[in-house]
Amino acid sequence: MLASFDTYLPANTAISLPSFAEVIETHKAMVYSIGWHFLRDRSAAEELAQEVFLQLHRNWPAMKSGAHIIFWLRKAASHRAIDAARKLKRRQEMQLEETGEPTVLERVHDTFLSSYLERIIASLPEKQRMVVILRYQEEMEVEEIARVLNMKPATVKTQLARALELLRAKAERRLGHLNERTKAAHAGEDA
Amino acid sequence: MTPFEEELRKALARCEPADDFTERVLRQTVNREAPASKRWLASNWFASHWFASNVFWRVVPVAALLVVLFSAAFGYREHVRRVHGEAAKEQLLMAIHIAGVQLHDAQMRVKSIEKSEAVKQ
Repeated sequence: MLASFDTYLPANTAISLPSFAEVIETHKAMVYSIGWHFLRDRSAAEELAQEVFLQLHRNWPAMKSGAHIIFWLRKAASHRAIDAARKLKRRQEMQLEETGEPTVLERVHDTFLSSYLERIIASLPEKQRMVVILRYQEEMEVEEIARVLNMKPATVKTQLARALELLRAKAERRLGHLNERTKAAHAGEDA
Repeated sequence: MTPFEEELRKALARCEPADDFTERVLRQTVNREAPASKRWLASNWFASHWFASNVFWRVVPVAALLVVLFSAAFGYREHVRRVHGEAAKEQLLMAIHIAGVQLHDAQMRVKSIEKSEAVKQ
């Protein structure tokens, strides 16, 4: 059924790209998760992911490779997420009751700390939040993040360090009983 | 990666959108890609099946031929009526002309008779 939709796509025989349907299937979790972790709003994240893929569809002839598609999707999702957050005028300090629950498939490690971290990540300033998401969700290197967000690598490093500092401070303040492993790591870093 | 960063990584694990996400996106790409006429066809079950069927391409020429034949027949009938009308008009004019001539002759005769009777008296 999905293959029939690809007949509407412009033929690009010069390079062997995956079909558009395959690209959606492969990368929808990535795009949706960027939106979800940034916006903490399920419907807004889905809308964002849809818009990103529709934009990709319009730009399909310009895609050069699978890696190019991934880079393009991360960049589009990041910038759209920031724009969407501004439009929604979401407060950086999210109320716990405002946050819905996503359909989580991969996440089995759903501890109290993790769910709390998700919420305090959502309270970070826009740029820091996106840097953290790209670094720890997408496991991207600083240089890659810099390219996606049109920032200097040094700026990304600074933003990341500030974000981590903020997150640790908030986590420690609210969760005085952070597990011993984390505490030990902080002690080691402070030293 | 420190344990705290590891916790962040776990907290930011990817999650899936709704099950029908891919299908919805693909449907929207089709809607945006197709021209308005195709969108109308796609949204109209009857139209899409009717235009796609072979019946349509058999019925249309026959219907067109019938329309041409009916038009020709109607035009011919109108032409015949006009010709008959013209002939009737000619006959009527001729009859009026003949009647006018005969009336004139009768008047002339009456006048000549009146003149001769007046001379006798």
